Amino acid sequence: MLRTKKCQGRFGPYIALLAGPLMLAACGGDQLSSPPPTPAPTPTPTAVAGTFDVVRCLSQTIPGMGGMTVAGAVVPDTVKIDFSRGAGFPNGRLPSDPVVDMTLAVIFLDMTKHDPNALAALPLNPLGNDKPLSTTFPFLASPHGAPPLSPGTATSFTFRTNAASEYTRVDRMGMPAVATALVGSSRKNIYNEANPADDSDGVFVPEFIVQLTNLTNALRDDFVAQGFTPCSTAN
Amino acid sequence: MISFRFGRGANQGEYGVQVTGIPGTTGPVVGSVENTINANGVLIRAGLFDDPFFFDLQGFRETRSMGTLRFDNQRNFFTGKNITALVLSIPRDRLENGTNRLDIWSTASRFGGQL
Repeated sequence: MLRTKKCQGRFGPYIALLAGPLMLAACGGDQLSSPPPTPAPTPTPTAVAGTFDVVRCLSQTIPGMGGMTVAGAVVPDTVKIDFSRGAGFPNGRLPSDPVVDMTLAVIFLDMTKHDPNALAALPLNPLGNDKPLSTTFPFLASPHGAPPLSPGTATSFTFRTNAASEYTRVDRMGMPAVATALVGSSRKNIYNEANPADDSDGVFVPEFIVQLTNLTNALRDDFVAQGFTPCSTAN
Repeated sequence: MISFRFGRGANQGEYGVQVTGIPGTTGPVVGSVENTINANGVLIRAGLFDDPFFFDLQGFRETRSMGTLRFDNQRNFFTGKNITALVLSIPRDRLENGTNRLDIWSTASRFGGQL
């Protein structure tokens, strides 16, 4: 199922998500017919001496995005499109955009010193798709190999008539790389079963902080060694 | 909310897609997979494609477990992989609503539970 929802103004100060009082208006009213119960949040992490604080990373603004913060880009976990700005990640997402390197840049690097393309310029990950992408609809490349394909000519089909509530959610997708990088394995299913309204309620913000803190503690020195200025600060 | 549901055709190997909630259309739109459907200006295609995502997933996993940057920009986990994709092209004026931003997300659900 693909959901589109016009939401605005739900990104309060990032720290408010941690403090308990929910200053964010949920992007609700667009639930499955049988929404899952609100997931229990990850316990709020406590600072440990000798490690790094990532709050500044999440509260920094993304250049060229009209003041949008990193936290605002990933909470809720949706692809955001502002029609008044040019198309391209993180404003929408073109299939050719290096979304992983750009996501890693904004969560690890100081955006007053670098831009979101800093890691894609290396690049850290492959810079493009393995097959040329089409510039016309449907924009994707043909499949690899010679898999059996439906002939594409049939006109009569039988569809189930079961209610949506009789199906089991197996995945949810929004901003690319967020679930991969910032949700731990033990929380993947809970995250997939939740909705953007849960994201906006701050349910997963402590999880994002735990995961980003762990990655930062491990990788901060590597980025410094590469000549980058991290956005994280010492505890 | 735009919903897709797959169904079988009359003959073996035939599959169709039923799409509801498309802006500017009424009632479900039905057509074959592997074929572009035009529904009142909205283009729909469901089928098998090359997976368009690209990054070094092995490098990310090693980076996380070993605590050092292990990415290799010559290693793309998605090379040679295919994916079932649902592609929609919707006229912009059916989505645009003044200066309000659009938030898009999707879910996949399976009848019969997780595999």
